[in-house]
Amino acid sequence: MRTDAAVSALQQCLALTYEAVFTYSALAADVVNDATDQDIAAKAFAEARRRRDALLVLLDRGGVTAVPPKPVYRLPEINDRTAAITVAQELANNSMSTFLRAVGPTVGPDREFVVEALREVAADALAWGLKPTPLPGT
Amino acid sequence: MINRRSLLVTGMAVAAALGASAVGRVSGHLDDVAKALGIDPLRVSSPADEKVRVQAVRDQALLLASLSATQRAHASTASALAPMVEHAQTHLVLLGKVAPDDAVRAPPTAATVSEAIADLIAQTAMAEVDRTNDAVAAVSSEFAQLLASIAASLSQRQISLKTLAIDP
Repeated sequence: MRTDAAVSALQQCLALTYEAVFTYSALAADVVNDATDQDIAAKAFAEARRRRDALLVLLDRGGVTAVPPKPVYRLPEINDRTAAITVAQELANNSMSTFLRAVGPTVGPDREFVVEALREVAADALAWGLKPTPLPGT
Repeated sequence: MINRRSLLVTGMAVAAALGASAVGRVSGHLDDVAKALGIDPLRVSSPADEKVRVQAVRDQALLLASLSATQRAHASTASALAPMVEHAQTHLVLLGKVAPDDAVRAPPTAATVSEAIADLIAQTAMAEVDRTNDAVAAVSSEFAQLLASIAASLSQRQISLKTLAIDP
């Protein structure tokens, strides 16, 4: 049985993941001059989409109505690679902390999903230039 | 006496705030790390969690011993492995291990750098899977968060080690 806190945490993960899908898509389009960055953004986009779909399934199985995505997400102006990388790093940090927060209130398959998501996002964050930390997400 | 919840929350917050830089300033002994972080050994209330904690301490101590042994055996890896050693020390402290454990002996270090790094990658991958499973099964939500974050750190460490394996 899911607690309200678990549902709320999963909904926050979903809301963040919608934003990640939008943002990585924009980054893949904007970081056009660097093939490596484009690959990283495209991979991050695909991963975010997979996590979004998995979260929708998880919530649906529990009879929960998923929060909808926003029609649009406001991004800072991305004029160069540095700005794009900054946006990606902020998103990676937000993702790690959101998934880590969801570990506590969840159990079973829900917790399994968020722990796995945290590991994946922490690993992928290094591709955006973030340094390894002893406790990702804190 | 500080309770488990506040200890963990404080420990994680302090570790996050101080990060590796604080750990790096200490001499490398776990009691110094604990002092630098301002925390006491972790205590968990559930017997199931305590069993997991004890095993996690053993595993993480072995990882730390292996990292240190590789640094000694292959001096060219010492600086690249230093942040990983610091993180491993932090993990042990947060898991409630303060005194160094003389009983923990690293397996023999491989003769070549590439083999030694490959061994570390394999050992780290196993620990990552174990901490992930531990996090999923943990009774205490705070303990689950600590284990999940350690698993994520081990995931990052594998990437760093793989980078080192490519360009030792």
